[in-house]
Amino acid sequence: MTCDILLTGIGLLSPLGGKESFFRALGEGAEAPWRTAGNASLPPGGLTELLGIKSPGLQIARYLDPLAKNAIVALEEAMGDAGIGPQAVAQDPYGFGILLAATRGPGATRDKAYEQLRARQGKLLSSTLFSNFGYNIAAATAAMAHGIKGPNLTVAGRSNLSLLLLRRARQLLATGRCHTVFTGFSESLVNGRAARPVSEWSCIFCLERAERARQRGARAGVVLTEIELESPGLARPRPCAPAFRLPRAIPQPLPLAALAAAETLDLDLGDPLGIGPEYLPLLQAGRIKATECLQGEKTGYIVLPVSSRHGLSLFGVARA
Amino acid sequence: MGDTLERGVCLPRVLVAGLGSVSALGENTAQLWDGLLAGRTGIKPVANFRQEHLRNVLAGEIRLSAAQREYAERYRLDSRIALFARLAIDEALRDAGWTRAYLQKKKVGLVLGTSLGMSLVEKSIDQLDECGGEQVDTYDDFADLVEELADAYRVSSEALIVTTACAAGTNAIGIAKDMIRHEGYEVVLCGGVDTLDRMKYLGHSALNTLTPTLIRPFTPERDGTLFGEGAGILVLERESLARELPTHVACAGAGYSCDAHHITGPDPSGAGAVKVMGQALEDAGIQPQDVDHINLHGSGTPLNDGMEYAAIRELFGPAAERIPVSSIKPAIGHVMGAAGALEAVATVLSLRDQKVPPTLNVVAPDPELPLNLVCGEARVAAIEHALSNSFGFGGCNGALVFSRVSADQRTDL
Repeated sequence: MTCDILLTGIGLLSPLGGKESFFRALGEGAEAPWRTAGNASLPPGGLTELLGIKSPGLQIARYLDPLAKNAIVALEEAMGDAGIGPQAVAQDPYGFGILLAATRGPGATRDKAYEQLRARQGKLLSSTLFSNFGYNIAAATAAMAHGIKGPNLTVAGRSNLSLLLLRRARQLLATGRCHTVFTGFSESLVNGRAARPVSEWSCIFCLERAERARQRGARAGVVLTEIELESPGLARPRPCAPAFRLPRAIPQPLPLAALAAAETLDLDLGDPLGIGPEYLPLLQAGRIKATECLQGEKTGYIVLPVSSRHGLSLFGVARA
Repeated sequence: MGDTLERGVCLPRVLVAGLGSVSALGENTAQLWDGLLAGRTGIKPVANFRQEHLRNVLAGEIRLSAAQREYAERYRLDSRIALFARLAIDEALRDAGWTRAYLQKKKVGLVLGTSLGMSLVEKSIDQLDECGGEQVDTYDDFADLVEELADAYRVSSEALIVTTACAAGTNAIGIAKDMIRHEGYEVVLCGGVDTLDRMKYLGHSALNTLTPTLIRPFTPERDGTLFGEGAGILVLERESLARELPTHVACAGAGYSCDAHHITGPDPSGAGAVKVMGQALEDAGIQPQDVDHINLHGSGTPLNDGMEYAAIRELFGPAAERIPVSSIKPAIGHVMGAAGALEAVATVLSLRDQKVPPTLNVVAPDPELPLNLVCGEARVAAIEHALSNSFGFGGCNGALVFSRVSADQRTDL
């Protein structure tokens, strides 16, 4: 399956704000105080309420789970960053797809429903809340908000999920299911599960078939070149694998400040969300550089080696 | 149907090597298929959760047999979703003739669809009432489920849950097909699994998607659906691995689209459904006139059936009244994330046996939705290519095309 794919836009909603403020905060070494404290310190509306975001996309339904709100806003930013306006989508709605990862789904809505059900002595469940139970609610509402009618998929997986997500995105593009796919995460903690080292995040990338992006004169950040997924025990020997001697291990939870200073990272995270595509902006910003091995081979690739409990994966990108 | 050329490269054909299922009609695929052809129903009053305050207490519930309980005990499975998935995967692997040891030598993937899974109840093979205790593990993290299954079958490469509501099983099979066709996978275990619980029934009671009576798809009396549980699994493999059989069934095409219209309701114009069926046919390299059977989504809700009819009419034109169509939901319930997978199993068997199962509970089809609805008894039909449709909440649509491949059409790439 061959297909040149460009990353043309990024949308991000994080406890540190949107993409720009996220980068600024990284540079300043800031950490979000609520990052390891669960979402107890977030307002009921989640990040969009905390950050005071007003987007017309948020008006599509009376009730939206924070996970859906974040995805709508992040996707809007990714579209803007990629230079794709609502008109372009309206002219070719099936040419655009959405592929999101959501391992825990809309936990805030589930918790709210349990609370309501207890109050109603187990007799009645709100149809509005039930309508928002689906793990695909973020992708579905983002599609409604932005008129995107191509493939709409939501997936979950093991700790190599973000790599797997990008591989599925590549499949959609390479097989011609759509020419542009918005892919990434929208996840949130739910009450009572604050032990996880992440809070609310939505990070969405605009990936496009290269010929389409070039045709419309898109500003291309990076090229998605290869994604390998193997597990220990079955991994076939890969010539360059032993050369990845990583300079240091980053402890969990990963301090954001460490990312800002990092050149290569060992992202040995146990949490399925730990290896998030939030690291891609670092590549784009040139904060993560090529390993010596690959520079020596003059491949021109910038490679982010990612090890997880499911084996070594190589996520390679090259400057366009 | 020939192999597809893409950029001058001949793509491998993807064959269905094995089938597995657990449903309200039985513990395996033979029982499911016998029941469907005989017009039996697996719908019965729910026994695994409380019936109070539900719009309807009937469902395609699975009462665990002694053998299934013994299996759960042997493998220390404490959840119905993992139990159903593993029982169906085991059967499909046996049917394909693969052992786990053999699979370890192959590039194998796992792609399963589910909707809400057991996210609303505790891990339990019996207790399915609602819960919501602050510290209760409701198995809501799908990473746990996919890890459990991937480890059980030693899936070395991709293991993925697809969660696109009631289109999940169909979408999972479509992704699996493309992994073999385009990405060098040799075998992919795929399908769907889902479970029933009281929270889902309370939710659908509130939404009025539950019929107060029985599922009666494409009839004037249709007024909602009933739900079921179970798993449907297909072992897909590259043609070059296939056994010597007179006839194979290929997973030939898949489509995906989104209505982007409403969180729970379909786009009444059926535009997204037309797109998804057309995409699946194009992917299979066939035309609408080549389709000999459609396994309908056929959920029995007024909106869904109306939309599906409009879409079929739009794509197939007057020929829509010729193609034998059927819905298996009245027999096993709407199995949500596993519905498309169990319907794919039935579609493959229709191609194998050249028979279309009847749509239960239909006395007279709705004259406003004139389709060639098979009802009353199973019908013998010459089927070379068949389509299976799924439409889910969130406007997620999926369609699959399956085709017969005779021995002289094999290419053995």
